[in-house]
Amino acid sequence: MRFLHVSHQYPPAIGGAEKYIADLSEALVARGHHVDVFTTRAKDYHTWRSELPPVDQQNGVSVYRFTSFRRGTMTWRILHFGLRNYWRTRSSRYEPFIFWGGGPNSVGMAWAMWRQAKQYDLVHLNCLVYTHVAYGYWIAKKLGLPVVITPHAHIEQEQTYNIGFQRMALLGADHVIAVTTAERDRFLEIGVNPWQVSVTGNGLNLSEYQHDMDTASARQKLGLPQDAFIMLFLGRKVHYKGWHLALEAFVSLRRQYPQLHFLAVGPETDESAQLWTKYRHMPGIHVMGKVSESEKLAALQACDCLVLPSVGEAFGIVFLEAWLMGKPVIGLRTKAVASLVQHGYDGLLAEPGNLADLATTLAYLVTHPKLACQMGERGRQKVLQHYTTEHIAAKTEAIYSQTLRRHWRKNYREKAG
Amino acid sequence: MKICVVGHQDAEQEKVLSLLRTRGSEIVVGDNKRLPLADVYFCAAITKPLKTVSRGIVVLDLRDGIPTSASDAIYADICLVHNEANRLLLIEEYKCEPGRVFVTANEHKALEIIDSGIQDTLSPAPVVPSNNRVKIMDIQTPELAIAQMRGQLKAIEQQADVMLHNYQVHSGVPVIGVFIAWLRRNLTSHLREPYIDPTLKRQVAFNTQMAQALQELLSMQADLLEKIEQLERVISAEHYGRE
Repeated sequence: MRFLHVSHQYPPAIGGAEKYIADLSEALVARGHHVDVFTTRAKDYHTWRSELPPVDQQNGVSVYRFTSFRRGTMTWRILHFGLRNYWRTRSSRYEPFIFWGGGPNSVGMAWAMWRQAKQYDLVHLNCLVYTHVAYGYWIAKKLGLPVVITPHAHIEQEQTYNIGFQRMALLGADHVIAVTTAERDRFLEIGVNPWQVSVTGNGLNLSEYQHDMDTASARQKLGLPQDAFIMLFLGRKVHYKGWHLALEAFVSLRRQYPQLHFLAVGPETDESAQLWTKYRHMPGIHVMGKVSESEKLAALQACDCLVLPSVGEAFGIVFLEAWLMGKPVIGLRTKAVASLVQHGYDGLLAEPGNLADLATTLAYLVTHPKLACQMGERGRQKVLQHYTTEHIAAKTEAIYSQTLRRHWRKNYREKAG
Repeated sequence: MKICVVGHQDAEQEKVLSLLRTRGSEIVVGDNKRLPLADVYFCAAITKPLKTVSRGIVVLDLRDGIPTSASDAIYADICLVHNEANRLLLIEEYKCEPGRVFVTANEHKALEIIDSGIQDTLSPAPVVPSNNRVKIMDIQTPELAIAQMRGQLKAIEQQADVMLHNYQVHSGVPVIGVFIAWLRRNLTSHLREPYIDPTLKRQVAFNTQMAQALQELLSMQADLLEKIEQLERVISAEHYGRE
């Protein structure tokens, strides 16, 4: 079968949604399908600056990249103006501001879809929060093609799925792929037909995680003490990811547990850089900025647990990465994370906004290393059983077939009158 | 209606097929390599060609039991199972969509499901929201529960005083703002002083006492757990001593 995947960005651009669509496209090609990707030339959604080559071939997937309008200070202001007034009034007259301000606005991509999408059996739109899904959906519907959407919605942040044009695409799509059961439940609440929503989860490409490092050599590589209990934060150090909460939990426990060390890995922001200067003299803090894949694997292997107190995760693929290395995880009890992490079984959950609870949870893992190992091992089994790229590709292939059949039945009934 | 039967048929499926025959449906047989065009694909296992069939409806009949190859059940539009336990197994273990798995032991009901499935008028099987689902494997160790409860109680204690002590009536209006604030203060004082303030003070006292009582209960609970653990150790030592 021939599928067209439309995404706001595609690797080498970094991000969970980007990785999801790339892994999926490659796995479907490996299953004998033809997959083309239409995307932008950007690798930074803050600016949508066109910097990647227009055509690319990645592991059998043809990637066509199109130029999009730059997002500058003015465009951001337009977006904020639209969002502020939209939530206040719920009026559709503010939607064009959100549409334009959100981006990526790519005339070339829309035109290419209009001219060429007809040759595909199905169009799959990735990441609902961005505007390409709205015009991609409209074009695919005009051409009579079945549409599948993976929204990657942050359930607690309505602006990622519940603006008028986003809701229209969600309700009108032939199928919606949720990555967690909590996301599925939310879509059912806002009126998506239960037949047209499925949960696939996210998956890891196991070949990318093969290494021959043990914990001792990983710690040696990163210059970490061998006898320490290392809590890892892995991700962009933006506020909603909760890296500052992980740091505060560490600071509150360090005196009581001197063996506790904090390893923070991921691109820095102005806020994080400021905070590091404040804590630079505190022992036990190890900071790494943007790292290579091998360094990321070393960090995952070196740690004793992953702490990601994020309030804005659509799924939290980093939990899967930690589990695959056999490490327990600590997250916040948000809907999406709570439907992935089973509290007390493969990780622990703390109440959002309750730092004392986060610290208690962390202290529990520090004082119960045997249980922590068991949780990590259970997490690893869970990933191998349900969350590999192969599993996700099989589920998505099944969804595509079901969508095509449903589309056929609908057309057949219309023709039969 | 043209029905394509794929693979081996057991007694349960044969009953459905004979019902379909009596209704005048045309029945053809497909195999692992080739699928004839049909409106309904009826099977007991998903074969390779069934995974990518792009017309009609695929009905997987697992009323005879769940085979080890049931992971392919995700490809079916509708799954029929014999009982609730098998339904749960398909959903939890093989990640089938809950709305697509139907429990039915009776061939007439199975036929009804197929009929409304092809018309897309079938209501999905009930989906239990994830937050209402009982997590069978959820292990909550007592020490962790107590430690977390302590954290929560600490937060409750900090929030026990619900009064806004620093609140002052004021007005942003220039020049006459002071007068407006004085007027508002005096207009509400007959309610605030004899009624709202004492009520809130009582509420604060109640909250504080309640938090303290919970704290004591928690300490008792922790002591009890410790004693239980000690007893368990003594009993197991005696037990092994006897052996």
